[in-house]
Amino acid sequence: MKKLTILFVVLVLASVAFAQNPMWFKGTLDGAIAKAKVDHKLVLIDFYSYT
Amino acid sequence: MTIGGDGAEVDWTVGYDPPAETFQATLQKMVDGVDTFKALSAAYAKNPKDTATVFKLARKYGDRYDTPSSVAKYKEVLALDPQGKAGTYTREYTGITATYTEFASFYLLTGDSPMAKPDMAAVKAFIAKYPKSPLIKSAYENMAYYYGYQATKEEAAAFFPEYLAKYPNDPAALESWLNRIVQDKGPADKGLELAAKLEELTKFNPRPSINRALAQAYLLKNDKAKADKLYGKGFIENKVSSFGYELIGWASYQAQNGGDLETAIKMGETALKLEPDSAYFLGQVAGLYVKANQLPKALQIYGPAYARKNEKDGTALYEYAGFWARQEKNLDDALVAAKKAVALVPTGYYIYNTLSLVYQKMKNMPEAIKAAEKALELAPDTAKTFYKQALDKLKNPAPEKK
Repeated sequence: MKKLTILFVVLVLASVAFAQNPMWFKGTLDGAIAKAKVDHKLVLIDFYSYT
Repeated sequence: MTIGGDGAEVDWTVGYDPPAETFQATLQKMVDGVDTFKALSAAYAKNPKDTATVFKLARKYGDRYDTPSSVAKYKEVLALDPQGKAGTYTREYTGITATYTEFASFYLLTGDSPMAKPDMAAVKAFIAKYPKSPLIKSAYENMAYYYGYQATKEEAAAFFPEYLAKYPNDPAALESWLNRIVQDKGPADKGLELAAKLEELTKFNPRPSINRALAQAYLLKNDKAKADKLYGKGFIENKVSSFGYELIGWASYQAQNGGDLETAIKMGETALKLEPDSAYFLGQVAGLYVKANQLPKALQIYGPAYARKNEKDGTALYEYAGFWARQEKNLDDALVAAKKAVALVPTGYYIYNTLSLVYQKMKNMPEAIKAAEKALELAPDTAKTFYKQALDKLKNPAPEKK
């Protein structure tokens, strides 16, 4: 059976130009969402996997 | 995937291809809320009769592999705008522009999965309705995937002649049929017929996948020599070399036209990894380093160590001396190389010309004139005029502009 590992990293995106050095969020997904709500930003979740 | 502060999804996208700027633009659209799943869903809830919104939502469902939802929305597009008057859509990766209605019909008949069995009656109906549509070719290409890999031998035997009759000079049509023949291990004669035509169409720019299919076709007839000629060691060595030249050509163009010098250097270095001993590549990459004010790196790959390594090669030394003379750097070593080169090739009038150039850049005009005189003396009659003019210029230089 193939082992599927899904990894994700979280980035809080500012609602200004993306190229302006986005800050990687250190913490849990819930923490990122809570911060995004306060800061009026989006959360980017990057999933990738090894099959 | 992006999600908002309310924890709800905004949009998601799959995969990444360079350049990074394109991917960043995709993310920026998400940040700006342009055509995101969330924005399109909200627009649809507000006005489900807007054809453009419904079409975009259908595409979005297709991108998300939600075929039932995309099919439902494409059907809504056909119901909303049967005459195709609501607007057009351009598919980015093919550049094909057609009405929302035409695209909706196309996606409904080809589906989102190339594995699904095509409905040939629906395809024929589409062709009858849109006889000049550029999407017809796309439909055949999609169907070729099914008939190439999924269909029975008999189904494939019925489909491919029709496909090729429609596009007789299309390498993709020939290649897909040939691949099916290789997979079925026959009919070999038909395979050779297709291979010959494909070879003729692509010989000036052979593609690896096509040459692989050609070689496999010749192997079906046990013609290993022809297979090797088409897809053997020589083929791949030639490809590597060609790619190296393409990288160097691109890098030089960028450097000469104010492009991205950093990326140009990276591409030049990639070419050198492919052919680390190529004097031409070494010189070109050294030129990029010089342009980027990285002289030590230039000298590291194409400096005195290179000249010592090639001290018996008159041509290499001549090119080396000429390169550094034109750069007006590393002139002492360029002079050593030029002197060695004329010693190795004493009849090389063009080498004396390079020796003269090195002396000119060193401001040693008496020696520059002596070398230019030797170049003129040795030059064949067809070249004497050129060298005479060069010598005259050295002896009677134009006054410097103030």
